[in-house]
Amino acid sequence: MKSLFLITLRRVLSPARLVMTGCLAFAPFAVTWMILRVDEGASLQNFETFILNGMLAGAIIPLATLATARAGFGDEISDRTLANVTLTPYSRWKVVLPKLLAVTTVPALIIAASAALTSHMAYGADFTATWAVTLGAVVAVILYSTLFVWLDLATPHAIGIGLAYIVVWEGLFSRFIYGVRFLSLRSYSFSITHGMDDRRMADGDHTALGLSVVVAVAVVAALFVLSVRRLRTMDVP
Amino acid sequence: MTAASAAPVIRAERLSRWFGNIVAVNDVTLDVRPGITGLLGPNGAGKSTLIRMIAGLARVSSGKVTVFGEPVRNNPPLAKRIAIMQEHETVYGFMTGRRFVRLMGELRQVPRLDEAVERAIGQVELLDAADRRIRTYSRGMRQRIRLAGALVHDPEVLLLDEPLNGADPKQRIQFQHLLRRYAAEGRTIVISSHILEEIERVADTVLLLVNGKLAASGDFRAIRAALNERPYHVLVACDSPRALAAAVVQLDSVEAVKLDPAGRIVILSRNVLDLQLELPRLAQRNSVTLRRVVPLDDSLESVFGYLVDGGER
Repeated sequence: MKSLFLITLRRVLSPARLVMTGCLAFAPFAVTWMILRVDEGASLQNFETFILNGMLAGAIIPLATLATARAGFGDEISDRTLANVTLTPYSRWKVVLPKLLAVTTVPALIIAASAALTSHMAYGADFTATWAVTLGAVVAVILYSTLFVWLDLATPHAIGIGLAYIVVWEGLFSRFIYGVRFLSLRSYSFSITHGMDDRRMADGDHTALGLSVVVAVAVVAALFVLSVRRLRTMDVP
Repeated sequence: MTAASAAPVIRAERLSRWFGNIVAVNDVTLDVRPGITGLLGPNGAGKSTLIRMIAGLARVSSGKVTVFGEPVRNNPPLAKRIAIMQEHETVYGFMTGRRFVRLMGELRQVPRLDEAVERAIGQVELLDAADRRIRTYSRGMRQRIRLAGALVHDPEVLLLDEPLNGADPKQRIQFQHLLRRYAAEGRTIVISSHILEEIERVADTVLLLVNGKLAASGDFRAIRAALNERPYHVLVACDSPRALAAAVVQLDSVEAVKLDPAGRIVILSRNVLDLQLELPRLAQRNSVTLRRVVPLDDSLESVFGYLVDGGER
């Protein structure tokens, strides 16, 4: 399992992916810093609406995880090295787990750093708020990574479908159509942020913290099982 | 116990695989015993799909395939006993050769890994280049390091899909020696190729696959004999075709002779060896200058076509 983790980590840490994830993660920090330079009294509500909701949760986290999740199985399907890791004495779940851990760890660390620094700056060293935003962001990374790892196994058009999901489902439907938020990964990560610090993301109609945690765990478990099943039944190139 | 009497290691029963409307493998039943078995067929015959189904990498549309009596799909413990070297390159260019073979060993839980890695790399004679990145290797070297990766866990069954692509003549000979050594240890080796001579040099038994169907199987010499008895078309260009045609038709080895519109002779013969010997003599005796002698249906496709059509007749 260590070998599978390391070989996947090597792909995640490719310079192109690191630069892309780093640039994306740096953007909310840079924008917040610029706004505060221009207007020290900028409202926290606007910060949460535009920076956290629109930028970090709406674009950066899903895009960064879509790119890094590809290192899990997508790249190995493309370059046909998947047979090397599937024709092994390991059960399929032991193949999926280390890969999922590898593709989650790196963006989680980078996004966590970005979310922590940005919210620390915006909330003026409010530790509870910073912690709540950071935790919500990490939960979002885990949820999206698990989804995109499964998507890479399920379809050869994972990038296109993933982008459509980010823009149409998470970007439009979940924000503007009532009820869809219960099927939105982003809304559960915000509910966790709100649950940790009820002053934050106070505008939304949030699910209770306990329920959000349970749903997040259930979604990760379900997608993990789907990935294992898919790896068992698919043609390995 | 001879290979022929040994129990089959690989067994396929009415195995088929289709992709939409395309049938890649069609109702194939076969047994493979220890030793070297050649899987011969033209490009697109279904060899790779068949090998991938035997390895458990590809699904079966219908039928059954077992190795050591066990189903191959989703049977992780079996992976310790099987190795596959696929036709396409499955290496990590950023790794050194040694790291790649080591990784393959780690993934297959090989005991005494250092020793196994050195042995496998030594077997393919790549020790000198083992610490170079694979992306700097030539095609033949990449094939060899992939073979080392397949051998590192000392598999009992070795499935090789077009393994000699990119290999130079010296490497081919080394490869043949290696396979023979492995076969002598009682292992089961399936090697696919679309080149008749490549299979002829190493395989004891041949499976002939054409259009997804098993066209022939068995001892190579028997199949070869059947091939030798088939009629061949030979095209001859010369300065006096009518004179040569009149002389050639007298040969016992010639069944028919005709002149094509371009004034060349097309000879139908069942004994090409005899024709090869007699044709220059006849030309000399009749003061005819030969310009070109071309076998018209010497391609593997025509050989397979003959076998398939012959089988249906």
